[in-house]
Amino acid sequence: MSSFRRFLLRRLLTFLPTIFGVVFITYLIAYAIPADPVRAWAGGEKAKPEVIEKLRQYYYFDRPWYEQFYYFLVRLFDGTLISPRTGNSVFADIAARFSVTLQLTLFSIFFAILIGLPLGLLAAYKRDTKIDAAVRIFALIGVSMPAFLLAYILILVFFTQFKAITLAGVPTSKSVVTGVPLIDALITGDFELLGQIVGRYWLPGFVLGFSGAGIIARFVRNSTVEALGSDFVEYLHAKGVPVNWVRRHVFKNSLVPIVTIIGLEFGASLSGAPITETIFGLPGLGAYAVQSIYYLDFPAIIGTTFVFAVIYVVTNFVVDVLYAFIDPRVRY
Amino acid sequence: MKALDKLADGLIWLLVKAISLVRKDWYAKNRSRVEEWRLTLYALNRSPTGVLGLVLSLGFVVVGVAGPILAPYSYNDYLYLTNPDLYLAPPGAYGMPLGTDIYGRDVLSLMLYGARVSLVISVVTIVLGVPLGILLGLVAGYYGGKIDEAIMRITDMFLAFPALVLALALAATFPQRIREFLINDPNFAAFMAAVFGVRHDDAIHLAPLISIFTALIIVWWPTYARVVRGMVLVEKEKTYVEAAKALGYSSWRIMTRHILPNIMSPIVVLITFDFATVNLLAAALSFLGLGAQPPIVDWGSLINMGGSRFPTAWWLVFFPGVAIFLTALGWNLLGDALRDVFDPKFRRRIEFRT
Repeated sequence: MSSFRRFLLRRLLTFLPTIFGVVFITYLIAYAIPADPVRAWAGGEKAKPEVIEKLRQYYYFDRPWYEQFYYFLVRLFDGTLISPRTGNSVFADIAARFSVTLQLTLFSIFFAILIGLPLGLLAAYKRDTKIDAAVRIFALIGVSMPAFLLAYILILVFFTQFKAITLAGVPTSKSVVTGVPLIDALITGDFELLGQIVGRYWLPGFVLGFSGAGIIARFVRNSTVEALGSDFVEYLHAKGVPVNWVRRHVFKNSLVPIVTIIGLEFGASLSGAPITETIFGLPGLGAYAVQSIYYLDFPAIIGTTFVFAVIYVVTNFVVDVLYAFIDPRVRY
Repeated sequence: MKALDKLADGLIWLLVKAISLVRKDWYAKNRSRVEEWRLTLYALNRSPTGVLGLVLSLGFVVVGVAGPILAPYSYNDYLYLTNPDLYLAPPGAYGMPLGTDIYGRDVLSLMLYGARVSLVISVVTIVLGVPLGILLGLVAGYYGGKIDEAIMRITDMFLAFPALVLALALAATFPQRIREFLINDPNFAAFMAAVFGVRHDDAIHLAPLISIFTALIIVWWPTYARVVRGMVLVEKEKTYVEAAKALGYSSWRIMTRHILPNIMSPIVVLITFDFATVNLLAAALSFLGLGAQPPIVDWGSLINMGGSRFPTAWWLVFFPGVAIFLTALGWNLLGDALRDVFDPKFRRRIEFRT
């Protein structure tokens, strides 16, 4: 276990410079790339001179870059990054929207696994048949499908035609326990709320999870095929073990890459969140990022980009650790 | 399949003729290489999905190159000025095969212009972003040590962002600077207008599109740096590298002339897949309102226009959406087939059959 602990420590140590780099890139995006950052922050051409002057002082635009960067760090971490559009602290805005994105991501992972896992197993056991080819093409269609095309087609079917979904508002919990309505509903056993949440999120979750389903199907297929080729399968067959039992062994052995890809899909669905949330009118982090870009709300752009990167890095970190944890053969 | 093989033979014959014009004894020296190309094409012909992918992606390239020339109307022909009925005319009405948009422009023509935009963005992103990544990966993997550490830490910083989020933030902040550039440098503006197939006066409106491919280049190189570094770490331990070192070749020559050709086939597969990914990501950015600004259009901005009028103006969402889907599907099918074709096991089966 001590080598595992050493691995954790080493992985944590490379984690810190990455976060520092993320902050630096965010700083470049906000301060160095815009031609006239203060004017851009103040709202572009129509900005009033006194507002520009105030911003210049508040965010230290008149100092050399390393001082700017220092104060940028201070502002980022002491929570006084104020969004001029909403008038709130950026991180308060983000905290208020986080639960929506989290629930959307959970639904998308749910659908990706629900569709991807059985298809992948089916393709692996029917290798080199028409079924295998069909799953392969399904996976390719999944990664080629633009989220907005799928979303609008499904909206046409379920919203316009059958009126089965709503596209405005999100259910909130009556008694707040964790702040995430889905988890609150499960804890308090509030099935009415649970029904509302499922009704609101299943379609956006499906759209976001669709490409993930294809990717997971491909990974499950390949890793199962690989496990099926190992010597232990032949041995189990020779021993006369029932087929279902053998399949259970194969599944366990193919699990490591599958867990990894599911973790990475979690990160990938963050990338898809801005589009899905915009189309389905979900007030989450992605929609907030898109809105802040429309209004060139720089503090909000910085905040959301930073938070997205941190979630992404943490997810990858957890996947790495999980990987080492599940498979004791992994060298660390 | 016979016909396709004949076609492949013909193409290679043309290529050999073309090279022979420049270098006389090239074919005699490279006979085995030409044979290798022929077998690669034969193997691709044995995969129906690969052929479909090749047709779709070549079709995209052809439409992208010829689109603005073929378009029956220009992107700034506001037809409803002469005929008010042409505001959001549905497909088929008034002789407009794919309908018109909110400015009364022919959607078919807009799609053809949009194909050029997609093609330019994907080609520029790949042509500039991929070699940068490959170069950094080669250097990091080959030299190792501190250089490797420095390059890979920077790569990690860029890979720490979800691709779309980083591209979103960059594409939002670049246009202002690029607009300045377009104003100060008329030659650059004229060149960009020609590349995107728009009128010279509209070059100033290209700033968001140029920002998109600049952002995508910045997002794209780190993946290649990491992948290439990993492959170089394996290759540089092999004996041919040792032999090249013993012959006293320079590091640069070993990297580019010996290691690179040996790792090229997985890179080619990755590039093919990335044509699909770049197209999807560029369309996504454009759909979110960061792409072409009026009067210029691309597929993503058409969907953006149609999205707020959905389902009434369904054709503004459906046709560009299907175009994006087919383009991405074409490249993905081709990449998937190429992966098999470059796989020695699969390849051997084909070679015995032909």
